[in-house]
Amino acid sequence: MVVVEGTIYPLLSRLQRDGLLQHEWQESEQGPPRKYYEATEFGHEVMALVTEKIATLNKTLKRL
Amino acid sequence: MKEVTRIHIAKTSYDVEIEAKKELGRYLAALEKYSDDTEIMMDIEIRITEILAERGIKKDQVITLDDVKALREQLGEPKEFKQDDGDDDPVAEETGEAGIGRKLFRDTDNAVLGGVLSGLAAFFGVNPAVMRILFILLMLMSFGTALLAYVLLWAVVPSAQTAADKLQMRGRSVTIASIREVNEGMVARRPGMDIETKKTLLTLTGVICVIGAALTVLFTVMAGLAVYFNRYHAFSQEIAVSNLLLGALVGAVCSGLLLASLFGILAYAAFSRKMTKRTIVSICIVISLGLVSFCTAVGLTQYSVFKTRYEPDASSWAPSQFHRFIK
Repeated sequence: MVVVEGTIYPLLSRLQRDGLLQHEWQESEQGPPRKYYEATEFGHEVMALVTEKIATLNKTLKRL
Repeated sequence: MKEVTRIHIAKTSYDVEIEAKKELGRYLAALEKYSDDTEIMMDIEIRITEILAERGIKKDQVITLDDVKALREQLGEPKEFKQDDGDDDPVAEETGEAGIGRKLFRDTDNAVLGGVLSGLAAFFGVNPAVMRILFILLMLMSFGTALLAYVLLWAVVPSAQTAADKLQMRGRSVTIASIREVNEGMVARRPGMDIETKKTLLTLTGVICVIGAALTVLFTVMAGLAVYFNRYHAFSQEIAVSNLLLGALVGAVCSGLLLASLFGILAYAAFSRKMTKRTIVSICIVISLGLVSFCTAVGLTQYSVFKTRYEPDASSWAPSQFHRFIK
């Protein structure tokens, strides 16, 4: 499966819309300002839950 | 020098070749078609300036067609990273139900005994009851030899254990959806016998087999002894007790004992409620040994009778009566 660089933009946009990410602008020495993303508190919670879920799934798959 | 024009990407101005501008315009238009989110477009534009910077093109420098092609390759085609919410991409690998042949398995879910007949029913796509009635008719017509075929199939045909086996048994394609169906018990599972009935039936079979074994042993030993000790008195007519007839007697007794052990094995299987490969193999061996010894006994008797008829002074024992007794 090929994953191109452009894949990241819709993903970031969606995560931000769902409130998992927030971003801030930072000036860049050359060219336009850059966006820096950061996980919100809710984002961290979701991440913990998903990690747990994936671990359970992996365990189940290994047992098969 | 190629003709250039001026454009702005993310509020940064560049000079760009006409060809490169057209190419870039097509690319951005394609991106816009896939994503209505202006923020994404903005992000991509910023990323384009960064990629251009990495390629050594800063503000007010010239973008060539090669640059556009390179960044297009790096960012990817829009359809490769469009927003998919999971439902706009129908599963392409629908193989359909036809084309996959059925495989013969033993259907242990609907089994009465070993699942051979229900497996055959699934294989031919008929109701198991039809198969069972056919088999009983076949048993009656073939004087029980169909049972041997059943035992053989039981030993040879594997049981359908995984969901994939069960699907192939019914000739259905193995997909994630159909496997889930099987595991949730949604595939039409014809009601087999419930466990209580099965238990009672097995116990009954076991008891009958034990009684059968005991009676067979008793009868074989009694008959064998009776024939042996009365060989001069009861049948003292014109046939002498030759070694051949003694051999026949031994063969007959052996087959009787083997029949008894067959009952024993069946009783064991019924009581332990399982039919392993080992049990099946020993049943096959016992049956074939029993048939061999029985045929030997009959053959030897017939041969003695034949001999007596044509060499009258060789014996003094009634062959027909002995024969009848053995049988």
